[in-house]
Amino acid sequence: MKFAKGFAVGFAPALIGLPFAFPSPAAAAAGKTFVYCSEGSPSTFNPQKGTDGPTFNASSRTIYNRLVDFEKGGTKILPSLAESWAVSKDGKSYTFQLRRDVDFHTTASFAPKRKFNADDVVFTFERMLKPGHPYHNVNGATYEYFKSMGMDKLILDVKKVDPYAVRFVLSKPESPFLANMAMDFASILSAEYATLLTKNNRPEKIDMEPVGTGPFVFKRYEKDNQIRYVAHPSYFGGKQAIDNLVFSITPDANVRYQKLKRGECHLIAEPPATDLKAMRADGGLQVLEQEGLNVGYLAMNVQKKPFGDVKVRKAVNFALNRKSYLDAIYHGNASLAKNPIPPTMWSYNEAVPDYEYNPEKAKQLLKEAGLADGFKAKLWAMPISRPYNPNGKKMAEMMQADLKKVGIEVEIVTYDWPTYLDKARRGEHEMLLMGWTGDNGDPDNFMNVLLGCGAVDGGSNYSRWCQKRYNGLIDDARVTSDMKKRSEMYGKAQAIFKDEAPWVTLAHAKVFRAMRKEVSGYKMSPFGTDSFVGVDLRK
Amino acid sequence: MSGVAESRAPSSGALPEPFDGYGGAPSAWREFWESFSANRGALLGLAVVGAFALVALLAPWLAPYDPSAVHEGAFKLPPAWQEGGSMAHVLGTDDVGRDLLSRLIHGARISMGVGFMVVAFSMTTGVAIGLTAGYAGGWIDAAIMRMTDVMMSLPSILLAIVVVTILGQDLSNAIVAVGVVVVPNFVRLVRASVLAEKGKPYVVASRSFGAGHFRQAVVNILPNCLAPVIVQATLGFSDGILNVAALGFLGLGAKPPTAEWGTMLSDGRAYIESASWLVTFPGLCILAVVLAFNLLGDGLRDALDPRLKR
Amino acid sequence: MLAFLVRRLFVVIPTLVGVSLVAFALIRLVPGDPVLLLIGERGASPEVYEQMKAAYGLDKSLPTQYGLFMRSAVAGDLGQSIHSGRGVLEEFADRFPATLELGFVALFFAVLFGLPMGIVAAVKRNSVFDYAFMSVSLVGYSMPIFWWGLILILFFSVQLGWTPVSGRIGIVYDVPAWSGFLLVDVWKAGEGWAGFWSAVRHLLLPATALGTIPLAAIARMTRSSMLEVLGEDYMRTARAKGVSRAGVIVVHGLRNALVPVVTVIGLLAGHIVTGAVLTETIFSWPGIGRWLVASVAARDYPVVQGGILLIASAVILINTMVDLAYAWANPKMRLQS
Repeated sequence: MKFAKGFAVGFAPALIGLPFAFPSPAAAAAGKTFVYCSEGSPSTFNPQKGTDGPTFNASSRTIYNRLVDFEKGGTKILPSLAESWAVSKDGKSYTFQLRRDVDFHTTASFAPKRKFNADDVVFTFERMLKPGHPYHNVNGATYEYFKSMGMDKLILDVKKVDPYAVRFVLSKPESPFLANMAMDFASILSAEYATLLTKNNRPEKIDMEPVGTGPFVFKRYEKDNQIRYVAHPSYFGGKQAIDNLVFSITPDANVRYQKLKRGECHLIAEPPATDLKAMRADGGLQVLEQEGLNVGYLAMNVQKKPFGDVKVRKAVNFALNRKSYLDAIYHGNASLAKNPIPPTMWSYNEAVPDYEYNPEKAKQLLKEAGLADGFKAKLWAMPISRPYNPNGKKMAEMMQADLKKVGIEVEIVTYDWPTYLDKARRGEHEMLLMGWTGDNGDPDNFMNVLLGCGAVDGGSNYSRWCQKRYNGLIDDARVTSDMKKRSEMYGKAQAIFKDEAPWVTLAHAKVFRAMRKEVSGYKMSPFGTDSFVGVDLRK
Repeated sequence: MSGVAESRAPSSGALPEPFDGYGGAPSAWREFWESFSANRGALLGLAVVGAFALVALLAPWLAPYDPSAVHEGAFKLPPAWQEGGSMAHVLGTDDVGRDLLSRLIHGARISMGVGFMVVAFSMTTGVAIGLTAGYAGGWIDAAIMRMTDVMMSLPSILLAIVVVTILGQDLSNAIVAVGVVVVPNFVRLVRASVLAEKGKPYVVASRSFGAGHFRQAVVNILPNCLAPVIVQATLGFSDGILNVAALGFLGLGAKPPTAEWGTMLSDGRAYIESASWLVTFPGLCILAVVLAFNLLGDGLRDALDPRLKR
Repeated sequence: MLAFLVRRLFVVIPTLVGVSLVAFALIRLVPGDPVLLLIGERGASPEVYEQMKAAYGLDKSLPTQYGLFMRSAVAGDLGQSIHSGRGVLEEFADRFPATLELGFVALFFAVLFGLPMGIVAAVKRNSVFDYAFMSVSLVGYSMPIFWWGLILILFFSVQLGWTPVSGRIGIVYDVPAWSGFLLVDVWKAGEGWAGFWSAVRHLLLPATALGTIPLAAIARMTRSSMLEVLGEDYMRTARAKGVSRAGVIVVHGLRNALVPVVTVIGLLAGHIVTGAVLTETIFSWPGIGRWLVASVAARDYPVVQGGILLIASAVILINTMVDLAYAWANPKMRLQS
């Protein structure tokens, strides 16, 4: 397109030059503006109702705080709205001491008359817990995330001890509770704002025009287009260096990259994998990467023949050339998985021996299992791209070729995504490609949710594997509060898991962000969410 | 895509009045051909359509490579005339190293086939329903017409998207989806012609000789309603190709590695900056075929509909 | 006139009922349960699953669901989006102005160029202009707009850098929604000409892509209807009476030729809403087309059925208005149909 340049020179001033002739925008927002090109629209601005990344980025990570928060870029739990906390001896009662200097946002529709206190915490949790609460059914909320984490069964009561102390009474001791309190759905809403909305008879506004304590104040949301925030002037963590924060919603990865290059955004979520090389070579950009808190795996349904036999499961582990998938499916943007939890998580057992690629050994094991002639099985391939497995169908095809070499004839089956999930939940599959992205950085969130006996019926234990010794360990670990002891228990459980081989562990996919050179102070979160606390633009 | 389908309505809207009387007389064909061949645009359209049809038929022999064959180390090779291009791959290669020319040639086969299937499906269904409506009249007619009203007020691309989602992503399902959307056009066209023919003396006469309903409708009336149907069918070819390509572009058409132009365009979109030929050439092919069918359709209409002759 | 209106109404109501039934049934035929889609890999206990189904009203029988949908639709309530929990009507109203603004500008562009092209082609029949304009409009008419949009982006945004890649206005402009039309709201927000031009520059490419086919259709229709009128006796009479050539064309020719052209514009306006689906996808334009496509993927039943019903109503409304205008202009029409 050589002629393009000539055309440009000739016609540019005449055709489009005009707009450039006007002076720079006089009324443009003052101060530093940071633009984040996000991948999707939030479904709501109330993190209690959300389940997806775009919703959390737009609400809990910008507008709100929780009693405790994850450290920036990590999974460690730090004080936030609570200064400290104490756990009772029986592990069934948590008392949080609250900060006294926290201001809620002043917005177009609300001006707080008091500081944050225990009433706000009680309001927040009672809304989710009590079906009779005036805000429980507002905007058709179902609190699915809260419930799916078992919080509605776990929390018996939330009590105001004094204006700056709150006690949670639990139905049983559970160590991951603290990590759950740092999750998005535990974001603290303003009770005073709710009272005002009730008085004005506009309760539905609570989820659309949010008021929180967080670093940025919600200003406006234009559907599917942009979200605008301004820095919270009296944020208890200090006012942010950027004055305006804009989420420019750009679902197409290529468009995000083009906008980044042209300076229309400072940071983009999920840059297109095919352009990472070009981005790294570009002097004006920086690419960040991190192992995500995820795992992609192949589940073998132990309730279906012949996968009840551990020898068969081991044989499949030996038969698959997993390393070859990393390049072909993940384009090298993943690391080989051997445990159900990623290596960045505490209690990761480095010592567990992995299954190497060894078709001979696989054949040997099949022979021992009485299946010297191999067998036929169905392999389910996910129909859509997920972070932990970008191309289920292609991976299934590669597995099919590998398994054929040891005599296992595999037929690839697929359904549309919701049907796939439903049938898998009911255990209709034999071999199933699946994966998981962690919620709270606690090993329980992988090892219990995906492999515990209780999750067989709940549907998230897709190999439907229930092993006494393993389950005993993770059950004990859940009620133990001593980190060291818990870590040991999970370590042992990982060894049992590997030996029993209900899965073929495949990969921990990396997560990417790309940003302009002038951005400083940004850190990727292992949860894959984006927070702009402490971010600045260098001149 | 709906913009295309609908915007055509006004121009074909001039057609519902049937054209009468060419029933098989040799002079009619001569007259038609004289009028048609005087239209240079129509001849050009015919030639291009013919050329694409030939390419489609001879694809395996014309294409230098297998369209799905991966040429290791030849990823995103530019066309031969650009720097870094090679004569081995005249139009370059795509992101996984497949020869673009070979894929475009095989794509002609798919697109021509798609156009044919869409037209065959929508025309047969539409003619059958339209004939029934027009001939039967009464409440059957009323019911059918209300149904076409409903179909025509639905946003056609959404309808096609939903139908494909119901049936599953597949080329044949995309064809059905696009076909379903254009059925009402044929229904209305045929019904209007049938209504006009029904009262004509030859129909009344043959009824008095005791011709049965089926014979009346299919043998006597239908042939005299076909001229506008033929024109609509030609235009339907271009609509079909365009709309299936649009579905392919939205990721709801042919499954990879099928060399369908719309799907190729959609895949090439990721490389619009680094390898623009992956976007340019499939689009040009779609444009050329659609343009040719439109020229041909316009020519046919002018030749078949004496009222529009000037 | 009133009788004509009443007759039209008798056709419109069953059509709308049919549309609602088709929309309701089709989206439910799509395999995949919206609740399961929300739950994802996590799975859920049967109890939570049933609770969620009940919350969205999906636990009731299909006839009951349809009955409820229709009953509230008549009362002006299209239910709540499963995805956001907000009213479908509100969600629609939030996004519709973006589509409408794009559609208006596209149509404006189409008329601005299409009409003169058609007139010149007719008046200077068989001249170079005629051939050039008709070739252009034929190409435009055959244009795959999803490709055309990409080519426009490639050329003007990527290669030349004249126009922005996506969005409705530059990020520096902070424009609260008032009318929803940015070209209007920039003035209210006090952003002045600079903001206005930014919005225009963002509109240029998508409006061109969306307006190309209407432009071609208008140019062709104008030409053929002009040709017809120019051949009429009264034109010759007027010319013979000594009216200047330009005067004849403008006063007598154009006025009469415009009737069918306006009909075409009416039809195009009705369908530009749906034509926007592809344009919005390519340009990340935050309108209803993109929203509805995403809602089909998310199996957001209330949004899909409500959205389709709203668009169909708009199309029917515009068509009815075109018919009414016709009937008003041409009494013969009133007796037919």
